Amino acid sequence: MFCQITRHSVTYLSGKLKIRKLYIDPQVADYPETDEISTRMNAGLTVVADPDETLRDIRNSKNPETEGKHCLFITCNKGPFIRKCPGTSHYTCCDYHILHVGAYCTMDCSYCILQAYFHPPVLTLFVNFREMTDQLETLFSSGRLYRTGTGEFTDSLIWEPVYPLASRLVTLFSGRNNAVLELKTKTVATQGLLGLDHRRNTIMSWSLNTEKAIREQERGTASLDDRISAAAGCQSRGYPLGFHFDPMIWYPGCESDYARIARKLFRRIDPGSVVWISMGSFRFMPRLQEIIERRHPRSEIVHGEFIRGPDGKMRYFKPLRIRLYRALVEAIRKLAPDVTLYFCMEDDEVWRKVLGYTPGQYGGLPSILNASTVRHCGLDPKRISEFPRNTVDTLPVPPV
Amino acid sequence: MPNGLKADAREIRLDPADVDALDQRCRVSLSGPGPELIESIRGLGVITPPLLERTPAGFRIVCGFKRIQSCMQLNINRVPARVLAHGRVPELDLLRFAIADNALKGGLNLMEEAIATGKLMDLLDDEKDLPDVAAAAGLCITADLARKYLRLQSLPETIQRMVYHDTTSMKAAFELGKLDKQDIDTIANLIETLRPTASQQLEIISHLKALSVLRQSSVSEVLLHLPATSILEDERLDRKAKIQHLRRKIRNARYPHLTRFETVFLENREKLGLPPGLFLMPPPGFESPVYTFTLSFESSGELAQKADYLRVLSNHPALRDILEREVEDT
Repeated sequence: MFCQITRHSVTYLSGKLKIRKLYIDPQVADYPETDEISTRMNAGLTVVADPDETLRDIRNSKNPETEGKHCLFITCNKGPFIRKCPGTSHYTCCDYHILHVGAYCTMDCSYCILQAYFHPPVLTLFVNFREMTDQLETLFSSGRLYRTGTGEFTDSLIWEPVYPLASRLVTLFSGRNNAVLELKTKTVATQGLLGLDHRRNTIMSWSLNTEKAIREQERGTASLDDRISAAAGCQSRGYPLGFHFDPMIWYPGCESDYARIARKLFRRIDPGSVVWISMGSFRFMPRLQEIIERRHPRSEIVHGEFIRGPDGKMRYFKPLRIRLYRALVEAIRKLAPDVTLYFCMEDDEVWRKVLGYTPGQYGGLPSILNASTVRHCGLDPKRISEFPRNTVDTLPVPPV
Repeated sequence: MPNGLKADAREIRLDPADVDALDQRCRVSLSGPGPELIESIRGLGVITPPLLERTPAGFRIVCGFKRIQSCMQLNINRVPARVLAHGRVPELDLLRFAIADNALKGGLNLMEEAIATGKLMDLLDDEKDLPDVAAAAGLCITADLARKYLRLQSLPETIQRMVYHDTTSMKAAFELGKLDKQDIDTIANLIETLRPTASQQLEIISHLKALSVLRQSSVSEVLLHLPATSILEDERLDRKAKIQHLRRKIRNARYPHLTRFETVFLENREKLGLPPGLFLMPPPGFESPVYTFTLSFESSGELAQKADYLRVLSNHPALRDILEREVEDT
């Protein structure tokens, strides 16, 4: 038996969409977190006889991806909270760990893989915080370094005004020597995080894109300027920062637009506070194309010069990707030569032609990122199994 | 199992003028009578009597639209027919007679099956019964196929006509159906003129659609700028050559960087002057850096000769260019 909170106009801050229905799994009906959310949403409860039917209705609706953004399902995560990022074959993965706190997103990016990843795609929040804490404690007691983040299956900050999970996680990670939390977002919902005692164990990250891409493809997200301002605000409170140029989108003039973002970024951001900047070009499983074409019929995004990669995903023709990356890297290097740059799911040829080296030359991509994490987040390398004999000064650093 | 036919059909002779030919409720075949049928009826008369239902105004056709139409054309005014009493046989059973009559005789084409499916679904209380009801009428319709057939029927008439005449496949029809009417007409005209294969059609439709979105112009304008007209009007080219030229032009426009890169690769491969039996293949989409040599030989002497050739080739500047594949090539 599920409960439905009938709401007609819960307008959410980060996205402009409205949550019309709130479903509650009876297993979490008496959780304090559930009560907290329903109170903040100021909603009443209605028992729903057959919740599966509702989910089926969403699945069978003409536009399930939009319909799923109007419903919030509060439940518990019955599987593991911590999952290794699946990556993809044939390309270099960074060995990231996903903290699975919820699913889907209130914002509406045309290219979002989550539209095709969940069946049906419905906004979901897991509130069994105690179980998540237990699983994290196990992780904290291991010797290796974990880079974890909540921004893979959802945006890390969209629910902060109604359920400040990110704030609680910041406190939970604070002071740990072998784990950092990355909060990745396209919002500016950082207000509740600014005063926290984070001890540099939380990396505040923003997904960045050109103003044209944000305007045309990232509906309901914060503007580029606002994202950079929010990052500057977090920087002033001592948070380490991360930036993700992913997905980079090819269009005439895109190279200079991406370079312009780098200039804009480093006018406000101190390169010394940046743990990493990742780059990845737009790629997608072919089934996403149908969804994008149906929801955004005039979108140019699926009509680039794509080839099918060995992992089955469509990606830009490699020389175009290299051109795009080179333009951005050149601009970043001028202003922030020491910042750690990496590619999300690219092969050695791209690394070599753009950055001049391959991750394997420096112990692999996970090692490069772990070293940067240790340096920026104030971790003690001697207490991390990977770097038992290193000091901060002897950690692997790829050349500039 | 409908039992109305055995119980109620009476054989009579009637004037085709008494038949309401406009009542198409049981019609599933779209074509008119072929010359063979007309000639057969002219020579032998109607061998298998059509099945009609009596109506307050006369008769309506259940099975035998083409036979009745042939008789009308031939001015035959006494036609043998089996007639069902008015309202005695449920409408669903009448439709099943009609479908079975067509399906078991010459078979229905894709579009006719779609029409039959749509009519059956209109009469069914529960769509889940469709596969069984259709099977009893000689059609194999799964729930998935039924959905596709309904989608087919919602496409513009131009596309339905192409499917009916087997000018295009269902998959290509759906792709075509995503375009604006003007673009549909342009591509339909192109397909009907050149008759490319089903996979070629899909490629042409997909590329033209993408170019139309990218250039924010209609498919006609895209074709005009290629320009496609010069290919279509080139009398030196036969149909297949026109298709080949047109596909190349469209692909070059759709993938300008990739096709330029391919051209450079082909030029460099040409410079290698590979002997017969030695072939160099690029990685698919130039994504992987791994190139493949195929070497065929008949004797150990020939193998040794080609192995020597490969050693020399490894220092060839054109091979170096191929492997370095600098992005400026695009």
